Amino acid sequence: MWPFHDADRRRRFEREALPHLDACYRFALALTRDAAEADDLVQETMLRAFRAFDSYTEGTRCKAWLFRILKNVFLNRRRTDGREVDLEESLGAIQELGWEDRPFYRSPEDAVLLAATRDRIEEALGRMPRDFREAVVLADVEGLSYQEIAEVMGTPIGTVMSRIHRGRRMLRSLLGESLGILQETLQERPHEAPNRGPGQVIPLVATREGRHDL
Amino acid sequence: MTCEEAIRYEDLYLDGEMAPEERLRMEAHLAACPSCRIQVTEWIRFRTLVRQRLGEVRAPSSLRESVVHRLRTHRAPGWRGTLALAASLVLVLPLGWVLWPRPDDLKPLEDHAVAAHLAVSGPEVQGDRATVVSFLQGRVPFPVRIPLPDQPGVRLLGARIARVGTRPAVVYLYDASGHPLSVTQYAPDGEDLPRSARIGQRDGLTVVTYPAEGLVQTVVGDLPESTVTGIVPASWRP
Repeated sequence: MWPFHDADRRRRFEREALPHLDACYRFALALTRDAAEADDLVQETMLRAFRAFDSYTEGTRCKAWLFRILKNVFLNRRRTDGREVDLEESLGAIQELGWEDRPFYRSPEDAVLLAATRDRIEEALGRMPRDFREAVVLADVEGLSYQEIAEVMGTPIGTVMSRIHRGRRMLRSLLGESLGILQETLQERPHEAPNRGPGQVIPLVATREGRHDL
Repeated sequence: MTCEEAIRYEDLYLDGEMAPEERLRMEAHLAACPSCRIQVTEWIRFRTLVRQRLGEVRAPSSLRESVVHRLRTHRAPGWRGTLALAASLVLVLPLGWVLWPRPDDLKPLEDHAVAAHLAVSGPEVQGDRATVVSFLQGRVPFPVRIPLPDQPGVRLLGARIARVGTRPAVVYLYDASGHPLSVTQYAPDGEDLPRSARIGQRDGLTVVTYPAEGLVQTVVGDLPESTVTGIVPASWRP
């Protein structure tokens, strides 16, 4: 492209995409759990996004668009170096952690949790399977809609909902554990949700756009 | 809404993903049920906590600087376009092009051409050959001659009037398979009329200067020398 085309495109890119650099880095960290790899991932993502910027539709959310590119770059790299972790492994990891055997849907003591530091939260997230960590970070930290998360994760909305649901409760439980809150004290609380078996998703519900789970 | 339903929907409620009427039902239940209200409130506080703590993570400044630097030095679109262009051209490289010495008196003129190439200002006239010719007629004190013939992968974008030193000149802007290519054209004084074409590199750019029908033309582009010389019309080669 000509310098004047490039200059114009660059200005637009710097105005619209570059403000999401921090968010991209956070998402890259959530995926990789490694600062150097996250750094690398973000650099490649930004260059690819810049090259493809003509295909970005104004009015759509730039952050979600960048995340889709970042996820693709991440998966391509993992496939290339044979480190891709699929859902089966994630479910295996849940069982390994014993998630299916305990009432992890209950919340640890709120007041204690609120004292949790960033390091503690990151450490707890790091112990979660990647798919669940990814869903929680995209929803809770980055504020993406279910539809946007589904597009980034390449899964149906129902799967997104179930990962957010389970992921949040995992995070809260792990954080509670790391803060020394005993699980037993929580089991007596009212509204104990029934323990769901592996692979079971949360029930059918009408959502904002009238769509249905799964 | 029952307590069981409220618990089932609490994530959707937190994420603002409930249909409006469901949301109203949920809120009616929460208003009436302190136990569910406490639970949902805890989740809201937990979610806010996670967002606040993790949301403060920033990209390292070295990463930001590196990204900005790479964006500013980025040149689209890379090898594929270059190879496609090279393949589409018959590359004839006369011996004289390689052997012709680089007289220093042309250097300032080529500097102007490189500066014109790198200028961010766009063309004064955009469009096809006819549009460009009719714009330039009468605006420059020499015959208007579009420097490059039509060929695959090379497209005229427009032109602008410039100066090379004190001489009026025209800068033609082309797109060569995604690469910017410029041709700065001016009438020489006589002493700086090259006898043949010459080719060289300047700041990573290929610069080819050649005489054509009494004018001097300097082609500048970020393409390999062989590609740039291949673009120049055969009839104007020495």
